Amino acid sequence: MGAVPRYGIHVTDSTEAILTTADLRSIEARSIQFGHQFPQSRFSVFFTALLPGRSVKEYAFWLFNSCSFTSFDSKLNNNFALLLVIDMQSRSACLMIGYGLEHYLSEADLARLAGTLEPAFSRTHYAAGVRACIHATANLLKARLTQRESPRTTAQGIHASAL
Amino acid sequence: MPRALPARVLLVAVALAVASALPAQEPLPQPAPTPPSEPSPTPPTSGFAEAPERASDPQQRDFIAPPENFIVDPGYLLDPPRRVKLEAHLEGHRRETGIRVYLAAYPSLRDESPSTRAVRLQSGWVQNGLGGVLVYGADTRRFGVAVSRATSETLPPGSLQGVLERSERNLKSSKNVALVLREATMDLEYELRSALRENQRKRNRTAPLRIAVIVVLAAGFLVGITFLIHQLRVQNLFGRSHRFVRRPDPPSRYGGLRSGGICAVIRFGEKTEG
Repeated sequence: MGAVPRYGIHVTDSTEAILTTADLRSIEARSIQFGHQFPQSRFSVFFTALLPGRSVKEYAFWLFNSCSFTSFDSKLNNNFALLLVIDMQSRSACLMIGYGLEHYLSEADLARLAGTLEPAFSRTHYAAGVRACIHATANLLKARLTQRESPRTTAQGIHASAL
Repeated sequence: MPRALPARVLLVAVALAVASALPAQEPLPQPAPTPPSEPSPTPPTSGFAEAPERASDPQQRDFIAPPENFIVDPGYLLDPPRRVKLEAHLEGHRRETGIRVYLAAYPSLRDESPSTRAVRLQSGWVQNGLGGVLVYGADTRRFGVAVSRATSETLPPGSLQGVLERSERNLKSSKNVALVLREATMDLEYELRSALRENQRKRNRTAPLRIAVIVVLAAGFLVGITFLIHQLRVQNLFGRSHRFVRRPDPPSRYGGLRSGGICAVIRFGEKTEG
């Protein structure tokens, strides 16, 4: 895969031709907002143009494990990061999660979340597509976390009413 | 006659104006060769010798105004040319380094020792600044020296004693008191200047270390604060965030320590991968 590319923890455009400064800032702002909602997590976006024949999935796996996209390097189940790699050469995108999020998001969830990119991307509105994906991910994670907390609340409620 | 009246009036008016302009004191003797440190009722440089006796307040009795030219010599122990040169040298030294060195040479110190007089003069003249006072009593042929507290912190131990010993040795070997006084003053000035330079050099030498310590402490503080805020957010103490529950670590897959490769891939646009 070569040397680790220069990257930012929020958004990187290694092609330097796809995103404008305003796009970069808007994605970065949304990513920071995501980080505020989920302080253990980070949504990082990486635009690239791989060589023909290269798999974006393999590249995303290598990049995720080679770079530390979180402020405090976290490994295994402490890693709650998400990485979205967009390959402009093959026009494909890969949304990958750290070990920690495997208990909250399934592959089907990820496919649904990655699908939110498509409408905007097909109109070449890349920043809008990424923002929509981050937004959908935040909503889904929020729902999942609320769901996990709710049985305890319900049980407490039943316990209280039984008393 | 009518013209004489205005002339008289004018004369009286001029006399009154001159009288009011003059200070209310006895006229001084002709100032021809008198140096400024000669005892006289007028301050600041020449009144120091008379002031203690004339002051009625016991607190003010000990106060002696500092000489403007750094030298107090009521007994004319220094010859005028040498005195002028020494004054210029001490003034230049003060301008260059900020150290004030005073020489006070008395024909008699009465019941006071030179050291006691030096301490007393130093507390009034140098106070908290950098500098010192060298006192010579002609009756006892002894020297006394006192430096300010700020100066004594920079001086190596025994340096003032060295100045005294050298001066008194010179006094024994030479009959030219003026020369000895000048040498003693220059010696004290040299000691003070050397000590200050050495102190400055030491401070400069430790400056990088101090800067490094400050930078490291500041960096540690910033990292600590950032980590603390992050932890407060993770623990959701602000009530605005969500917290993931950490589970036991699984074995890493495909050698990945951060991600096990759980992902979704989509293709977008018209162009598709084979």
